[in-house]
Amino acid sequence: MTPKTVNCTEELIKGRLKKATQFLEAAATVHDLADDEADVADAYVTLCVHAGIAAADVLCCRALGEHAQGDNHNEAIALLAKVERKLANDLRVLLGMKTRAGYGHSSVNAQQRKRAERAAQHLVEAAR
Amino acid sequence: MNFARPFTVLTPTLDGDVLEVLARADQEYTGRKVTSLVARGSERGVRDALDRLATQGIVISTRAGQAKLYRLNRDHLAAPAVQTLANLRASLLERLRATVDSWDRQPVAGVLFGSVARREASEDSDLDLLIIRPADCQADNPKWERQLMDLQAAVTAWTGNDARVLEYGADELDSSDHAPDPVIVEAIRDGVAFHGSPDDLRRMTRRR
Repeated sequence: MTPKTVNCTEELIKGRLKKATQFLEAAATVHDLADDEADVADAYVTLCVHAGIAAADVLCCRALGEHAQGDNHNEAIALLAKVERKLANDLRVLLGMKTRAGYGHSSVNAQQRKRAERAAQHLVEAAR
Repeated sequence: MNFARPFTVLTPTLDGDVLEVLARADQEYTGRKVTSLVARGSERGVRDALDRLATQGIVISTRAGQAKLYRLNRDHLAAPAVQTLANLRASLLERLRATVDSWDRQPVAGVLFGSVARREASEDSDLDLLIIRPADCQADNPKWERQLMDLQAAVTAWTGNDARVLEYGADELDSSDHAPDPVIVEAIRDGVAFHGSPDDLRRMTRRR
């Protein structure tokens, strides 16, 4: 169980932060343009998940000099928990939603949408 | 870990697969029968493994006419270790049960599903856990979130597999106006409950 990680460069940190911000802004745009927020809930949450993952990479890069790579959710969560456990829980919430989106066909509800938004905002704000 | 071949935790050889088969039942097997149950390697390879293990005393070999019969020596000092390795999936379920039973905020149901439940999981497989949150507990309840985070990390540490908790609220299971998610149907059909029972899930998803 050797976690797969990538060493960070300043360029990588800047690039991941730009993506994190871009995904979160895109989520807000999707939300604002929709007549009914429930119509775009899945797209909104997906953008929040991507924002959170990119922000987690930035946070790990700054504190540890490396970020998780690959599909292993728990390695990414454990790495971020070394930086801050509360933020690691935010990442867990977002990755859990990604897992659920992959398994199910039902749309996310308002409560989950709010939860994804909060988790992504926490992570992106901490990464800025 | 590989739940289809639990002895690969210690050894990738045929000897491990042979021990896993012999640990399944306290009875004598022919070399051919062991080969068919191991479902890998040649009959010659399996017989060589059986003879190697008999030399160590962990396998008892007896003659029945022309045939040789083999069984696990359950009195051997190493027999409990062999049986433990052969039953790692059961040990996982026991730990899941004990852990979730100790939670302050109990879920309505907890189900192991997917490839681990079907005994098909390799070391690269995710380990899927379905947890149903009670209706009176908010998803962002700090105690509830801490429990899930600790469980996911613990199960990953116990097995080496990437544990993924799939969380649903009990109120989301009511399928009066839509079909339940396929994952819920799968968990009811193939899953192994470690908290509550599949019948509880069945009742909750029943169309009204």
